[in-house]
Amino acid sequence: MTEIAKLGKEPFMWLVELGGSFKIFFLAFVSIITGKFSKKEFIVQASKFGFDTLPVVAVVSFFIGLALTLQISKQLVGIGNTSSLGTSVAVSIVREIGPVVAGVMIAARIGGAMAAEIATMTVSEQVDALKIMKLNPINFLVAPRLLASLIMTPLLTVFAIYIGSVGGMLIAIIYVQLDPYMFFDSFRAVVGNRDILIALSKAFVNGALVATLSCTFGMETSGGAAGVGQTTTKSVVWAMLGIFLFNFLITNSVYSVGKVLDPAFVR
Amino acid sequence: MMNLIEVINVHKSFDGLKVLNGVTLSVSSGESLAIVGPSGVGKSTLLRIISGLDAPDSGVVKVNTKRISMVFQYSALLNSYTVLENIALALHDAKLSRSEKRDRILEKLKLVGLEKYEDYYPDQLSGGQRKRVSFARAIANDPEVILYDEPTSGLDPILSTLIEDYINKLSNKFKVASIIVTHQLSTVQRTAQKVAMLYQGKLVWEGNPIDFNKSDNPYVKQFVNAQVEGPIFSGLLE
Ligand SMILES: Nc1ncnc2c1ncn2[C@@H]1O[C@H](COP(=O)(O)OP(=O)(O)OP(=O)(O)O)[C@@H](O)[C@H]1O
Ligand SMILES: [Mg+2]
Repeated sequence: MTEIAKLGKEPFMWLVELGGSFKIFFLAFVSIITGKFSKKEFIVQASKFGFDTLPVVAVVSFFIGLALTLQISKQLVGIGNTSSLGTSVAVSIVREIGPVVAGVMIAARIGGAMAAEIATMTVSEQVDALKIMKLNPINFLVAPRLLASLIMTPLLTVFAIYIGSVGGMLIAIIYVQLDPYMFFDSFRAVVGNRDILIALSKAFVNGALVATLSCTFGMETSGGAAGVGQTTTKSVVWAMLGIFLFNFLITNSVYSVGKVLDPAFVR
Repeated sequence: MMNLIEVINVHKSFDGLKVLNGVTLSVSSGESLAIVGPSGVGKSTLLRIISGLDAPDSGVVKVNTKRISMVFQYSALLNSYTVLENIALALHDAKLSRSEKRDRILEKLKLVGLEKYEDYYPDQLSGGQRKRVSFARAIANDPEVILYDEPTSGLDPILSTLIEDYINKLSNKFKVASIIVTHQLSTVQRTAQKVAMLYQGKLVWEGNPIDFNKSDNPYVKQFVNAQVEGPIFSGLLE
């Protein structure tokens, strides 16, 4: 192919890759539903997922909880309305910060490693060896990772929300000298099932994004060690872009749908 | 004798580089074909096409059995699995009990002198040890067709002979059809009934190993005598 022909094709490559990712996601999803995936791989992946991400998610969401609450309390102290601190912190952490922080940390920690592992397996013909042994890479590699991600990302998101809220409460107690009960009362009063639903649907999307993109890009890798490096970066960047994009889309659609169904919901 | 492998007029290019330019060959059950040729001529590519991993641009590939396996040039063992688990993967659809599988795996490992390494991970093994595990994995599930991509490269002469003897046993006793890609002339002599030389996308010579050794064909002659001067790679010398 000439360089000019290549240039003409490049702008649409991402569309092709998107199509490929959808296909892989669909095939892996079918493999999960039909129970054809490797259970052994699933257990290995799910436990690795938890061990690798729990510490970073804890640290990051704790500090974001601290900073966020500090920032909001400054504003609220200014207008003398610290009693709504719990409400403001709760909405941001449960609906936005928790899912995004967990998602981004999972994309960086797990997505990068997953992409590098699958890419290495591809360039060193390990995936081909699986095919020769009649082990379908979708059942053996992709589906177990997707399922692990779909289960572990929501759990880690709930964990991030919990740790972030603890950070927020510490600021409320120490800095604003708020009564912890008051903070948690206003926190609890505002967080309903629907908030949990928003957080969890974001978590599912994030989990699907990270596993699908890492596995798809990993299996498409060529060009040895350099190719593995490129795939790793590409997977992390695309997964993060996807996480921010879908986070916005879900928030936005919840508000537009919520407005119609229940005006009181849009606080 | 039934042809287990048939390749008819196969062509393959990568980004405009013509690698295979009309290759035709056949291998029947119990027969071993050695494919030789200078580095980079497309031997691995041909094996990948026969195995079904890659599709030819044109031409026909028929493999008349589902029981096909392959020894990869760079072993291709799964890094996150132990030696034992790697071979177990090849037996995933074998109708054997757990302990029968284990016995089978240990038997194959013993055959390649690695019975003490069952719990090792591939990156704890030497290149030759990995190659032997790859061989054990390829023969574990009683295949009818085995494609070997340099099965004896990286092995010492004694181990090479051991592997070669076993390749012979598989074809004589179990009627396995094999294609053996190799750079080692000793492997050609000890294992093959037929030899083919691949050069510039075509099989430029075909015959038996005895004729191969004393052929007047300029490509074969240069290759067998390991001469720098000759038609192969003549461009490199300028
Ligand atoms: N996936 C690929 N993409 C682009 N080019 C490729 C690809 N695979 C092989 N080639 C090219 O095809 C040619 C043949 O490669 P192949 O690996 O089949 O050679 P070989 O005969 O096995 O060599 P060796 O004896 O060194 O193993 C080489 O020029 C290589 O660059
Ligand atoms: Mg090769």
